[in-house]
Amino acid sequence: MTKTDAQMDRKAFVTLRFAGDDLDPREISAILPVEPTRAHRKGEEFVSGPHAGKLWGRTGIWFLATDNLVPSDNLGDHLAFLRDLLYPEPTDAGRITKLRDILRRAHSHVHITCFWRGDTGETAPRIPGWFAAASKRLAADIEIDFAVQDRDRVPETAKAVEYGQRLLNAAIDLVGDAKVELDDQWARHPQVVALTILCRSICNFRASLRLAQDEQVVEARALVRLMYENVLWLNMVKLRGSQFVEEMRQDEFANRKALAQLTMRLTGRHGGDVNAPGALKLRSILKDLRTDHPEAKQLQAQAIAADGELEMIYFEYRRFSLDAVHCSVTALGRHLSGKHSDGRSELTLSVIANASPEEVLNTIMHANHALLCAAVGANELVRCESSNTALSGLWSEFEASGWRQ
Amino acid sequence: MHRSPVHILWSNPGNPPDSVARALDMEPRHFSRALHKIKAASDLSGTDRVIIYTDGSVRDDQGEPLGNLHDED
Repeated sequence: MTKTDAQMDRKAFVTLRFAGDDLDPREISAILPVEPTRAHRKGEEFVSGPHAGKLWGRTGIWFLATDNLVPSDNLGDHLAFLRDLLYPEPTDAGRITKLRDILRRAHSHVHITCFWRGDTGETAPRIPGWFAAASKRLAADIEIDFAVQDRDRVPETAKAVEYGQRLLNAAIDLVGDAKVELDDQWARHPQVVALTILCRSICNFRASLRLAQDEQVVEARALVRLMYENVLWLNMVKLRGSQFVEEMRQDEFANRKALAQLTMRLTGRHGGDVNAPGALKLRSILKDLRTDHPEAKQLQAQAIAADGELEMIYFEYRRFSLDAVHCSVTALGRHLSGKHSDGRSELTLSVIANASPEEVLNTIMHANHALLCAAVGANELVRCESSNTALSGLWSEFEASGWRQ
Repeated sequence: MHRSPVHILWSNPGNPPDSVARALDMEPRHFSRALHKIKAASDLSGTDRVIIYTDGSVRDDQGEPLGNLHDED
């Protein structure tokens, strides 16, 4: 490992910053004999780096990071460097006094942050009492950023995320490029319905990808289940066109009717006035629904999947329902883990549902699969030439990657 | 909704998972270190929300640029 590699892979360092809108960083530099990593006044232009270019100071800052000053992975060495900077001698608090005076005059504050990234199995360091006492005299708060670098260990996840971003782009392009000749069906035109289902899938996908990356796997999987439902519905729009759109409308009426009936029943049961204006209006709506839509019937995912010959998608729909959507034993079990050793049993309850890095990858792969199916299905209906190539390429890539479930 | 050549990789408070680092072709530890420095140098705490883009740029939740992860050695 070269020196540069070692610096780039530095496990620990600390930062010291003085910040405030009225702060002039030159005053801090006049006291602390070290070149700051960054220093600027509020509104002052500075060069952040070759990629970021010139930026404007959000506030006045004098900022020091020790990673390039202390050649050590031991956090204690970085803390000792800072202590020696602030206290040139153990009993010499002259710099502290001057710094506090500046902070008071410039209505500014001081922060210390401690960074540490350990390897799996390593124990996080502790902030020594001597350092806590030293920073207290400066009125500095200490922020801890300690973690073990063992999350997201599946390299394939990055590949799946990157693929998902390109797929998302292709799906958005399809919505933007699709040309629909509207007729008297207007919003009920099967192509319009297909595109709205794709839009819903795009939104579900974006959220599920973010949640999966944030290790909120259960929540991400709940959204993937919605996406598989979208695929089932979209497939039927493709197969049955306007007839299925009408079935979707009847499903809507059946659900509204059921909701209105439930409201009436609860109003009566809980002593509400069933003759109040609101209740009378609801009764009138219910009567209209019964008269206008006597055949209203709820759609069933299982029947839709069987009709559309998408039973494998239905299988995933059911699996994700059990796993994430419903308050099932499987879903609740994710918050529990047990350990048995030396005749003792221990049950641990976790607020955040347990999920392995492999499951993060699996969830992203399913999200990719569902969005790909929705985009290809929608394109088969709207026949957008410009999207054909992109989606065909993404389909081949998905299959070649071995992600096919 | 428009697509753009630069996309959001992360827009939450706290530390992003390693997949964000890998999407930027950065070692996770180097990435964490770079992000920690950008936030601290911008007078933000670790819990503050930032937005990370596919080109490595980092902005605060108001969209103000804070720096670029590829600039941090």
